[in-house]
Amino acid sequence: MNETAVMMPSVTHAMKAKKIFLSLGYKCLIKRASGRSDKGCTHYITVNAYPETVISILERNNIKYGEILPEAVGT
Amino acid sequence: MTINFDNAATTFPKPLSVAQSLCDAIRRNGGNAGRGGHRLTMQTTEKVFDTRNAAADFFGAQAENTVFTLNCTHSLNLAIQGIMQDGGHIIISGIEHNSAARPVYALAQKGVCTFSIAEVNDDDDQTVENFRKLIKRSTKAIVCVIAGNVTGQILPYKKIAALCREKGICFIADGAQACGILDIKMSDGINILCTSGHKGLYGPTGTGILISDGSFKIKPVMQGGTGSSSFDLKQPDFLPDSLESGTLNTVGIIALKSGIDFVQEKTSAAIYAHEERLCSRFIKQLENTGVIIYRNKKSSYVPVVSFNIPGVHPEQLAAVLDNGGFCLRAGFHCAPLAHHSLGTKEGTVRFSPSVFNNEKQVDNLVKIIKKYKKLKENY
Repeated sequence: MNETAVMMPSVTHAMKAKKIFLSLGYKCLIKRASGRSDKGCTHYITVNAYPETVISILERNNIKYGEILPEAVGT
Repeated sequence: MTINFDNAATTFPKPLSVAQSLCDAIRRNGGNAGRGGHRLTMQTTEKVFDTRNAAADFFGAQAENTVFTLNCTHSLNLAIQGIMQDGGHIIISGIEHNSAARPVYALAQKGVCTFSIAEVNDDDDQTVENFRKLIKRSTKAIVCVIAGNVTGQILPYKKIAALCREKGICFIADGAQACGILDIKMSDGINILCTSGHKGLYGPTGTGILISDGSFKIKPVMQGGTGSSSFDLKQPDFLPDSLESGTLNTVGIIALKSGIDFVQEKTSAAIYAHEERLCSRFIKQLENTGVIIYRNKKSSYVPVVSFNIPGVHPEQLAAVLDNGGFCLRAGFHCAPLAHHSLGTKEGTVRFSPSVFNNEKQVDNLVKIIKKYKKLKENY
């Protein structure tokens, strides 16, 4: 299954993104990224969609996002 | 019997849903929002976000630009100091509450900025002109109440917003007496809206909101843990984290959503209509009695009425009303500028009903006022 993990600037941005993805019928989880970021404590989202789709939805909704994590989290 | 007619200070009673929500939150939502990834914190984080989203929707803003504070004073301090800390000139209105006047004055005393006070007139266009006349090249912001807390006068805030837009300066609006009563939206031209959660939004004390439209960078005045980018010693430079350091008043914020839901269900228009009806009843019954009502026919008002009995100190009258079971605030209402503009050297007594007050309570209050006035006249 395709899954994309995207770093989010804050848990607020992650929550907003999750709400939108869920409303569009996607599965979206918020996770802590402390071990996966050089910025320390932060959050990322995982969405069951291709990266291009995820980024497109985030940008369409003006939601700030960070890097796409190199490896998919998996199901 | 205790009847609260001091809802301009804080609304009481609160809706049952707010009390229940507060109780539930303290019993069930024990995590620290945004900190950690365990279920307790995530559940609490979701609840806090629900309120953030509700507040954003209510004012036509973005959730990420909606910041939780402790009260409107806190919001105004963040906004004023955040915009003015690099200097410049700021304009306040002549009826400003100390929550804006004092931080501005403090910055000026430190030599950080200069300020001017725009006279508020009965004529809205004259008021706008008074602001316009004071704008200079170094003016960075105008901060003013949407409605004053002493007389309830509604300022021409949309026209002031338009003036700020024309001049490229920041409009900081104090919505403490207006939010939940007037239909305030960021699209009115407000760049930064500051308000309490515990007045017209019927939330608990210890809650406030600051909303930015993103046009002007608000530099943080407090730094600390935000649950984000913690390796970086620099404070995050994005909202809401940049202005939310430390643990939030989580239970208060969760209960605030119930307050916002309550207002949305009733609608601000219906709440305003009810409260203004009570004010009109109050004023009408005191007409031609010699009681001074500080309202004029030209201006518009939120449901707040200041009044005095000539020859009676406002505190004295308030004490008599308190003995009769009616709670009204007397004095200067933390707004000396407003009283200076009114010429009320000893302050006033302020009547401010809420959605939970009724006509019978107003009638009984008026009876006591009239009785006391007669007593003083005969004494």
